[in-house]
Amino acid sequence: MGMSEPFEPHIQKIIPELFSFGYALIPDDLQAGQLVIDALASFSALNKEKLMELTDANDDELQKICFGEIKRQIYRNMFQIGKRRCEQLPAICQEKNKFQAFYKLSVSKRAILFLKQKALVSLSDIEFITGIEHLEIISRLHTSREELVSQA
Amino acid sequence: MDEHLSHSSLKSSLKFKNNELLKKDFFPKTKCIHSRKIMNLCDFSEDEKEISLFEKHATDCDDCQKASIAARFYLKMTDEAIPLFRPSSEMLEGLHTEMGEIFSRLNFKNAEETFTQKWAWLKKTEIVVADFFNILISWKMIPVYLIAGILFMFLIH
Repeated sequence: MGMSEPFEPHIQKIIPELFSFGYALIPDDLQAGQLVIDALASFSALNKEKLMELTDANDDELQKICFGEIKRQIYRNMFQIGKRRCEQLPAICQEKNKFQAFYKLSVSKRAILFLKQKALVSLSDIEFITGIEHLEIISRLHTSREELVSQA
Repeated sequence: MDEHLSHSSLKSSLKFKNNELLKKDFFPKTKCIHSRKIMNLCDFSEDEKEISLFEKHATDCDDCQKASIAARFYLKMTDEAIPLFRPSSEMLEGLHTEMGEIFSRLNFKNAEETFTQKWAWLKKTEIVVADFFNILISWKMIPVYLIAGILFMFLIH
């Protein structure tokens, strides 16, 4: 194998949280892993220069901004691919364990809930990732919580 | 107040309708207007001043204290219903390898100039241009301009 790229360790660090998001969208180990890889592949093919920026940025602050931007974009790719995959494979999105209530929610509601409560993403970032308007996000967040609690 | 006790007392006081818990069971109608917007404050307020003002108010307001406990309990309940799966070490290793393969297939040497590279180039150009004008305007150049002026006049005549 060739030499690894200098930005690889940065991306490696966020893989566990990306996987968690993938699993929130599709409750299957292999599918969640594949979602991470697909999102990463499509991101890096189209945004080589953004990854290079991560290496070039000498300043910590600048590196943080570049990294935040990359993370947001990968989350967005994961959401878009995951949404399509859930439509194609509805059977795979039915979890039979204690998270059944969560997986009964729509993909966008699952994504909003996970990003807000587990990944602690800001409202503007959720808006960017899901492409849903912020008032609609607030409304979906409240209704999905209500649905979760009513089935608890 | 002990949080565990307050949670359990809240749980026992909740009303069940057709075995379903509703949000309004957690947040019954109160007189205090602040207690009604507590969930929005928990979720979306990034203004620390607003939060500290609410905390100050909540120390004297019974409705807000109850609503705070209910909000915490409500959020905890929903939090427990959201999965947070981490990949196994084998899975993580596999993902790292696949990621490495993706990056090795892409040729990063031919990548477009990055913003930081462009910025560095602009900075360098700016320094060179500024130096050039500094020399042009300096006292050292006065004899040169004088000679050039004399030569010009001589050539005209």
